[in-house]
Amino acid sequence: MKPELRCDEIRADISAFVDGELRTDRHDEVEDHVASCRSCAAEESSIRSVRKLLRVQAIEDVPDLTHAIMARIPAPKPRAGWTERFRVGAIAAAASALVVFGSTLPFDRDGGDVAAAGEISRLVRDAARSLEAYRARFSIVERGWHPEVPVRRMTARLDFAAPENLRLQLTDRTDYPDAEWPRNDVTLIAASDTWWIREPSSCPEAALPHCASPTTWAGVVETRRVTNREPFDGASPLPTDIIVPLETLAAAEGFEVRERATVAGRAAYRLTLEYRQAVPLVGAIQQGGAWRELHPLDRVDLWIDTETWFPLRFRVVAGDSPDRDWWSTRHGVDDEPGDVLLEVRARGFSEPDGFPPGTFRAPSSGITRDGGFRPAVVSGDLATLDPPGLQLYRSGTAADGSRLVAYASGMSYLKVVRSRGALSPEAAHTGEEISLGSRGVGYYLPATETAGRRLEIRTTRGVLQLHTNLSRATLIDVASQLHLRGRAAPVVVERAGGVSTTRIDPAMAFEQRFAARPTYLPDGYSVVNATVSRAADGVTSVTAYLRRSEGEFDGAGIRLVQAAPVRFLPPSSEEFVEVALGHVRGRWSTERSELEWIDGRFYRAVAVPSADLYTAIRIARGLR
Amino acid sequence: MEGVLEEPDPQLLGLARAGERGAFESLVRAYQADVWRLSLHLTNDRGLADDVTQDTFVRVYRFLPRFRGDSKFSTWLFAIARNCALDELRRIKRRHVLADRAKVEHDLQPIAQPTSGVEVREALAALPLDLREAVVLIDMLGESYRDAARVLRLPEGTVKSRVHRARRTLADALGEAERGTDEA
Repeated sequence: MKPELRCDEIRADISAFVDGELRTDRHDEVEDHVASCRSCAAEESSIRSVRKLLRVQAIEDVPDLTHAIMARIPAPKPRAGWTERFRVGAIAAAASALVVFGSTLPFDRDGGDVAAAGEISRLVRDAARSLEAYRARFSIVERGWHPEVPVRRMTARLDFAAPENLRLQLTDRTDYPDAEWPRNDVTLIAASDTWWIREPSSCPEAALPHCASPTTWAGVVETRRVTNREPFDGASPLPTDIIVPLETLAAAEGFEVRERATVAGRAAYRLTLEYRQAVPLVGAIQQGGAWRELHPLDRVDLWIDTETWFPLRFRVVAGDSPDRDWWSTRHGVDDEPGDVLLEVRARGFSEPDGFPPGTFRAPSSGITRDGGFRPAVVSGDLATLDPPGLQLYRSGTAADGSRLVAYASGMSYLKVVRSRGALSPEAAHTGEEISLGSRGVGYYLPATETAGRRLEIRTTRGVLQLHTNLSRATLIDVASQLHLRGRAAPVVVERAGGVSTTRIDPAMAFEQRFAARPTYLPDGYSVVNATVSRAADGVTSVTAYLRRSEGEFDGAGIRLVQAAPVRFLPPSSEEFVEVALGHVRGRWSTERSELEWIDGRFYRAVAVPSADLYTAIRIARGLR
Repeated sequence: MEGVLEEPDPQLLGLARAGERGAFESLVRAYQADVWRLSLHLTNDRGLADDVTQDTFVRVYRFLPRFRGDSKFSTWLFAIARNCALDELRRIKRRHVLADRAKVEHDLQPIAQPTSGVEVREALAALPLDLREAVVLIDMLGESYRDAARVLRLPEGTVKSRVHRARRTLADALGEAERGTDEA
């Protein structure tokens, strides 16, 4: 190589060299050359001095344009931002005033007929209890399922005869790019003791469309069946919230009443709520098949019939939660705030007198699981409970030998299970201790996506579990009438790996010297339980569990962990987002929805599986 | 410490994205100087720099909900500022054809003020736009090659060679001026 050529080549990299922007090997090469070549050394020094001149340029006399800019920023619109939502939620919870917001339609204020959220909750519960039969057709539009199939259209038919006969038929009418794409056709048929579903085989998104293609292999459709199903089995649930949104609207603080409207000629209220609260409703049409992901804080608009309390229409709208973009990236979706992601409309409904024979008869095909329930007459106190408005429905022995009695009316139910075992780990570890007056104590868990509200009572002979979709207050009322005495849960809930975990009084959760107390919590949340863990190395941690009273459908509420002495955040291979919390830095795991930081010698963490970073930061900043 | 820009506090950014004006105003206060300096060097005109800075923040406010956080905030901001500046220059050019040529040329005079940095600024203003924007981003705003490449939508290699050509040209121009002063 000629020396001049080599010098030209080196000089092209001189700027990057002084900027430290070269790969190490190239950097060393340039450095060595410059050290030994007089003319390249001169070039380097010339570039360095220009660079320095530019970088130390006197700061120009920069004008302050703040006022001019802010004058051009649109005035704040009334929006469902956080503060607004909480304010509205709080008012709705008061349930005494008429609550109307953001009305866009003519609206009569004189009749006083706009029910507050609490009133709607009550009316929905009554409607669920008296509903005997229901038939409806729906149209469904989903956007953003797959980059190559931006819009999917489906129709659904639903037949229901109380309390547990249901047939849901979903027909995919999407115009797919070709026949390779799996169609989202789903059939669910349930009767009191059987449950049957046929759905497309699940397919990782990256493998679409070929993975479940009819032309490549036969396993396109999966069929599963449960026989000897126990009444109101959480593992084979019935999607009844689309009939009357009993769980979705169970808690008055979970939704807002927006306005009166007319949908398909019927009087309706428009309610708004977060997707995490509307999971039972939205999930009702998603019993099988593949669907796009929705963010817990996406907004749901629900138009509900003011007479029958049937949903007439609902839609899920992409929210503007500050960390929704990270979430989108992680879930491979590309939404703009305000995009309508899913829209469901009732195309007609009726309350028929009967159904054709065989409507709820499931085929006998499919992978079968024996639910193990054997009907039997159960005598004694379980059979003589008198839950308000419910009648004895079925009784028998469950797969594990426990005895159960189910009461029902319309869609409402209460199931009592007596077993010889201990409290479930969930109830023992995280359940809220409820006083049953002279009947001792029970341990309460709110409804989840698949199971109802639950109260577990520990007695000398075993455990009594009550499951229901009635309200928490009704559940506690019924439990207080039982002839038994509920004993406290064991204090030590876990001992593993040199760490022992004990239950403490939730009122003492923030009494440890290092534990700060939250001054901000999202609406409806309170501390329901707390545990202390002590490790052999001297680290003590306090975990507080915070939940809403009626349901936590998309996660387990909020968890607050504080520990001392801790110097470093636990190592992890996850990707974190760095977050400034006052003068300290924290890290946010999008995977776990947990914000962790070190505050002096104390470790603190806020986990919000069904909310977002913004919520976690507000809670973290409110710790005192 | 060579003018490396601090990223905004994520919670401030979150609030601004949620439309909170107070939070947005804090972002304006924190970043307007850098946006203005970039605008000034792209347009070579203080009045235009004011307009571009305002336009930039109005656009930032509108598009903030779409900011994905997959680049640095400053990178995203500078890309918007650059677009605003180029739009403004295109508009000027159009007007330039239609309107009083002399006046516009007067408006577009390089900023030459009797300060210590006058030669540097003159030399900088005389650079072709493509070299100027690269060197301003890297030397005056402290962006890395990678981030500058994102702002300019260019491969990193191109940014590298433009910065070098810009510095080389400036070195020549300033060396010329120095020699001139020495001789005088």
